Amino acid sequence: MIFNIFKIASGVFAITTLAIILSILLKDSYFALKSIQTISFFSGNWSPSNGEFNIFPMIFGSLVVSIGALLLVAPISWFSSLAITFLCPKPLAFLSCKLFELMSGIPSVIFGLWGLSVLVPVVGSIKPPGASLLAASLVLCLMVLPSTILLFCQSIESIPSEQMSASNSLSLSLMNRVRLVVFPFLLPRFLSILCLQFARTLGETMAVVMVAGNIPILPKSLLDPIRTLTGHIALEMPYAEGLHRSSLMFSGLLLCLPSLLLFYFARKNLDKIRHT
Amino acid sequence: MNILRSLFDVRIESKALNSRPFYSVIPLIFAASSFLSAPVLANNTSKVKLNLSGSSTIAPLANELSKAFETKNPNYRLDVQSGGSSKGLADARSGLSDLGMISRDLSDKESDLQGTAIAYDGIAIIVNRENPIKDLKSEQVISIYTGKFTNWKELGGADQQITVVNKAEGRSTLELFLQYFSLRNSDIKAKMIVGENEQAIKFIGGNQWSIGYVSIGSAEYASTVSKTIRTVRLNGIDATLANVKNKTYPLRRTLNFVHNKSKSEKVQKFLSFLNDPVAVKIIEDQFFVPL
Repeated sequence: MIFNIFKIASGVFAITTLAIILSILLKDSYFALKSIQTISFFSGNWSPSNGEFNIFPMIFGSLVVSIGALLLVAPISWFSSLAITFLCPKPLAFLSCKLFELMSGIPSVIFGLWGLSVLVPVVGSIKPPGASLLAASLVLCLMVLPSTILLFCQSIESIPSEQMSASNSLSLSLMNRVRLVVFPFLLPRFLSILCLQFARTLGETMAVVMVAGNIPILPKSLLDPIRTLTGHIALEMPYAEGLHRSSLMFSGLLLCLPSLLLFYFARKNLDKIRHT
Repeated sequence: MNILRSLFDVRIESKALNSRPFYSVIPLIFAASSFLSAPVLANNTSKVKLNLSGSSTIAPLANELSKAFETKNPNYRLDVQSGGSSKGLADARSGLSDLGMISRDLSDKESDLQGTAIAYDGIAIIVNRENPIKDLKSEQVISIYTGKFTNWKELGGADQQITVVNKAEGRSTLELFLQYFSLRNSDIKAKMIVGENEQAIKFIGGNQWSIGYVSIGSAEYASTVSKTIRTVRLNGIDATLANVKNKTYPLRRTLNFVHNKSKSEKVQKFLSFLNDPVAVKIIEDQFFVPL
């Protein structure tokens, strides 16, 4: 009984918090939406002091940096988790799991600092300035990799033992077992894990600000600097006023929508798993 | 509707949460926390409060100053918030804070407020310690920042591309830099945009062929302590605190506390504390230049 009350109370609390956040974002970005034509959010330059508010490079930057990171994360964590659960000798598997747990506890800003002082000069030696889309994606990849591997391992362990023993008794090779039993069973779980990690990379701020270069212009190559929506808000919000501030709030709103969508898809996927 | 359902659908499998003892602890926690917080709240209300907000350049200094002030006047409680000169100005105007911290002089448009100068600060142009360039002229700095020079060899340095580091829109260092070199931010062809001074120092310290500018106090500190960056002479004048003090270094600014024309008693008291030798010592320790 009491537990149900708590359940409903926390549900109401979550919804009101979400509603408050969205309404504040809407209220504060209303000024920008009213006074700036929609088209000028997607044309010209970003230069608030001259009345130019093109936020398209930032939207593009956020998406591309996160997708780039996930493209690296997905195969690496898939193969590492397979290696840890099926191939490694027990002590090595245990050790690497502990290592990943340790790594997932490192604050992201540390990854950013490492990227700034180690990774950026390395990328810069290929083509200056080094602070670029590539560096940002690599740092984000490193940031989400440990927790993704751990979650992948966990979901591989959640495969019912009957299925594993059945596939064993068919004397399937490891390759076939993975291809025919493990992968189909785990695909929806993996997708929802990746959805959540995508939301995490979209929301990451400090690590990206340190290595991305933060130029509000569309990049022409992997080695060009880029600015993400989160970095955009972090860099300019402390000093912004009026229309400038309001347009930053609007970028916050834009950032909110994909995050909500991703959480929704992850949740939906998990529901599907539960019902089957 | 699905979103709503999934939010309500909280499933906690742990047995511990379902057992009764857990719930009996909750009111206890509330009670304990209210008892614990009561003396703190009561203590706060009996003190004279003074709010400062504004420039992130001044905020660390103001923090140290307010600590010293509080030890001297135990019945005062000072609260320092950073957020930029514009915020300091807006807060002082709206009365949200008693003193606004701004790292520039008040302009003519802002004559509704009154400013009290507390210290000087300069902007130093910095490069990586490995970079052989030691001296730059104003025109050269302008050429680098507008993208006319893109290689160090055009300045007599190594054959390496220049990585121009600029500050984010709204920062007071950017403002002073643009104003001094009569540039517009849209003219600057930057390869990296940073927020805080520390971030610029970190980046330039790690990237050999970059150039940037930071507040002179932090530059002098970083070049003596961490030794990864070096300040560049501007028009033949060393970027040092000493040269800011004797006003020979051109790229400098005044740090101000702004307040309403009618100074309240507590504001008066804090401002007069700034002439105290203790306060002067703190200003020097923070790499600023006392008046």
